[in-house]
Amino acid sequence: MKASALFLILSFSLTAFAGEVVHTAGESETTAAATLAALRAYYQVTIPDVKGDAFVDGALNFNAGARQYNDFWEKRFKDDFDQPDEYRQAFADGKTLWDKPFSDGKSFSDCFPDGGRGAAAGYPKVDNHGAVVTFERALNLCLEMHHEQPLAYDNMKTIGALSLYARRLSDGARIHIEVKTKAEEAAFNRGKMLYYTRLGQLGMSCASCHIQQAGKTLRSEELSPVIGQEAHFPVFRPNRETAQLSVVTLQVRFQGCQKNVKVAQPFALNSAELNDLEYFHTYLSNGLPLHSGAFRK
Amino acid sequence: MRKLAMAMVLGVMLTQAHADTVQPTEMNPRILFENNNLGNCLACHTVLNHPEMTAGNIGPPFIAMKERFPDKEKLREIIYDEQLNNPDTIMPPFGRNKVLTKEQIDVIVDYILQF
Repeated sequence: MKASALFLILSFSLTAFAGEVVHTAGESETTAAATLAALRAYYQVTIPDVKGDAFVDGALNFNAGARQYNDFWEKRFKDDFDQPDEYRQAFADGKTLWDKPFSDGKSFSDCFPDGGRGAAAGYPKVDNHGAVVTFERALNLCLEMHHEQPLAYDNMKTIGALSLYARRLSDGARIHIEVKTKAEEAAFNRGKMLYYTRLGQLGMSCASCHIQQAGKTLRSEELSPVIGQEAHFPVFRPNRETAQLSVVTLQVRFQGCQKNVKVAQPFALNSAELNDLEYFHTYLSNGLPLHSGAFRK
Repeated sequence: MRKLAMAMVLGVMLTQAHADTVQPTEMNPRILFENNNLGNCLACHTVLNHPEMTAGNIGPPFIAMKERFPDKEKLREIIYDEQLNNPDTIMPPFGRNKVLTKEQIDVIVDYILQF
């Protein structure tokens, strides 16, 4: 009985990992630098009008109406009179969490160089054990180091707001992820493998949409290229019925993509898989300016 | 433009209404063709003769289908598992991954052939 249960679990986890790889731009390159170069060359052909920092605007590059709608929200974000409550509240909550002293008198700003300014642009990092540490994980490690309770990764009112505020301290800083050591290369390759592997009942890979078909329209939404996606997270997204804004971290968005392609059990937040994916994903946005708290519909 | 927006709003409302009522035994061709839990064909393919049915441009458009597919079986194979012909396609293998039954695919094939 036990053996058959084990066999079942094994066969399920094997189907989850031994998926088919989609051979599209960047897949066959063996180093991080070559992968990024191949993607840039591919996009130069498929979406030639998107250049340099414009990659940060993602799908807005392909749809004037979508850009107008986005500008409308971004203007409200900057308007003292018309600022949406959810926007104001999220940044206020984030600042409260960031400033609140720990029981030992220290606070988050003691865990990062320069009080946290520019810190987010260097995350994710790979630790001594070869594991990827995202910026949200680093915030929680700071709490743990000072004997405080870590925050739940799915709570957008705590870790979401904190990440939003803490990343805003790096506003405009350019993403710089290095892939140099063996451990970093391994983490990059694990994330890359996941990115090009078909998942879910619809059998689509991340690369199917955001590399192979970037710039095309899918069910009335344009598909953004992978380069630039990471720069504006966490984002504010409106509820489809009420337009109520909520904070969405990058890994929660990753889970959204998995649900879209009908993955029965999406990878958990802060799982090794999603952390590897975030490392690979962030490297591809190297050189682009961070701006947390952007609007995305 | 306004017509398109209306059609999109209507489309969203319709698919939402259907989402709750979709049966595994669904056989209504229009629902099989449109619903985002079933065929979801319009997500990627446009129907050129019906501009209101435009939401995607990833796959080839539905036009002159009878002339392009004199052999129905070819169309059925594409929907069942296009990866057999085209290993890196984004087209989901609707039959192989059991998004649709063989009978449902037959209904969709006949529906698409009208375009």
